[in-house]
Amino acid sequence: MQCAHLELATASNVSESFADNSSDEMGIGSRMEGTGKRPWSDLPPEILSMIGNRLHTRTDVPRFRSVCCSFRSSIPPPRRDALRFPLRIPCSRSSHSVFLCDGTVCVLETPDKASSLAVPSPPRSRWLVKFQESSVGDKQLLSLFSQRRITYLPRNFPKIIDSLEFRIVEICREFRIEYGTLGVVPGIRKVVVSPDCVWTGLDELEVYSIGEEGRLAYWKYGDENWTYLDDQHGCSYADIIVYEGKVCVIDQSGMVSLIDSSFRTLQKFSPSIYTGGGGCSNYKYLVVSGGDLYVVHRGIDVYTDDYLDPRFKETFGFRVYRLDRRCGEWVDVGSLGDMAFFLGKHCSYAISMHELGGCNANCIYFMENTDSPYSRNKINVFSLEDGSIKPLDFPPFLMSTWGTFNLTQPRFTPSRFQEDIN
Amino acid sequence: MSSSPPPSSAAASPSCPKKMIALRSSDGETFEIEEAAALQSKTLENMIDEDCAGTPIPLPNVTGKILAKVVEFCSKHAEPGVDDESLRAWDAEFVNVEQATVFDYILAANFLEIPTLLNLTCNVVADMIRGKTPDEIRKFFNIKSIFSPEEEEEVRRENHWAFE
Repeated sequence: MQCAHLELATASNVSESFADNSSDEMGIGSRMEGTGKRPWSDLPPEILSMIGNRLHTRTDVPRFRSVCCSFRSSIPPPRRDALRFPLRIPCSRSSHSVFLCDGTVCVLETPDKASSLAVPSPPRSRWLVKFQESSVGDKQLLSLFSQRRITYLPRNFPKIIDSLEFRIVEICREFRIEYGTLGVVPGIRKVVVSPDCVWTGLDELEVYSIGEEGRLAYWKYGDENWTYLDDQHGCSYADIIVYEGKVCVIDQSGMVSLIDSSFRTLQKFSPSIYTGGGGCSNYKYLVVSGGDLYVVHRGIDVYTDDYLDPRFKETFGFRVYRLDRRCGEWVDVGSLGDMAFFLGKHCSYAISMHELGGCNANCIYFMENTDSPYSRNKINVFSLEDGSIKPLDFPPFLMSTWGTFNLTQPRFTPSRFQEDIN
Repeated sequence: MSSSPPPSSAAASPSCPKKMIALRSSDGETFEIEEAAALQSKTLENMIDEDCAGTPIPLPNVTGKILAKVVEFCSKHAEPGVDDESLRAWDAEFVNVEQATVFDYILAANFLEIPTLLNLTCNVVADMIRGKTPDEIRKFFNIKSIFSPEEEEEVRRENHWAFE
């Protein structure tokens, strides 16, 4: 950061960067009013680099590099040895080959002009989708709530997207541990990876998981095996998420802890939540929304069969709490406002209905696990307004034209709305 | 000036007034800033160390309008006893300005070597970019892109998504 870099702000090398070259008064030494134009592409490379490095997603980074020459040369393309999924990892639970797989949830918006090959001129649409990349680089659609492949593309969905033209907002990333093509490895509740961005190399990879029994483990690239982070008789963990770059876990009492990745210790981040006792199974989900950390407490009734084995679980309600960072307390949330929460099998996220349209705000979309091999998982929606629970009436990806609902045509038979058990 | 004590911590006792540094902008305005606040800037810190702090320090690359805000920023960040949340909120308000002003802040922070301000402004710009298509980014910042045909092809390839 030397003074010499300010030479950029001279008239001569500034004029190239403007389509409408208004004047030569571009130097900050000159009297430039706040509403004037500035030569952004002439910022010193190390500043452009600082800006570019603050973009992390696989959509934002290539786009930044596509803006102009100076932007392009300020940050390198994603590393050759960047994370590629699926990634083979060790698994003490099984002797089969086991892979770490990823998925990305994002909102796509088609541009104004017709650019898809599928339909002559589609209306402008927004899609909430989850996809993963195949080995050849194609994107495969996954269900929003689980890892099921969506093998059919919806009618108006473009087969090829020029991602320079689409508005794409990455919502969240999910990770799963799977047996090659044989589905997820049982006994694992949630997996997160941190850090996870285009700049992360294999050597920096750290994976954290929570087992169904509540134990917390991690694996660092190069480790022979997973390492438990909790003590065997300690508390049981309910969920895990990455919040503001840090891995957070919540235990059954509602206390959130941060994992310090260098020392692998847990630091208390929140108090416990008192939700009352009761014999029901309690599920807790961590969700990040609007920069805040939320926990969704799901109340489930467990019905047992004649042999008193739990056969059937049914959700009867939800309670939502937000962590107030200022006072360090959990606050009971009565309304999600503009947001809708999605509780998937492998990741949970929040979408602003203002961004998406096409479904109701102030709701929680979740998957009802039935555990019975003869029945299918259903996707239901809980309304915070009236406490009702209704089944979902659109497929596991959403579509809405600009500002209006477009769910009138029943494109799919009802059975398609349900998830196969896995 | 050889008898003046070396600039160390800024804590001032009631009997000893806080040391003020004078700065002059490119358009001739003069501003006073507390030494503690001035130390936020590495450039100013070096100048103070070299004992140039007697006369108003000329800053030919920063206008009065921007220098006033930079002084405000540094003073706020040197204030004792401000909690993180409040400072974050204050910072958010500080950069809630037109993009041209953010640009000026960036260059001033770069010139004066104020890491906190540079960090804040770069974050804001990254936020402005996130989620936008390159076209939208260009329109927003009024940038003209001139790629060679080979670069154009490279760019197209990097951004091509095919769905199975």
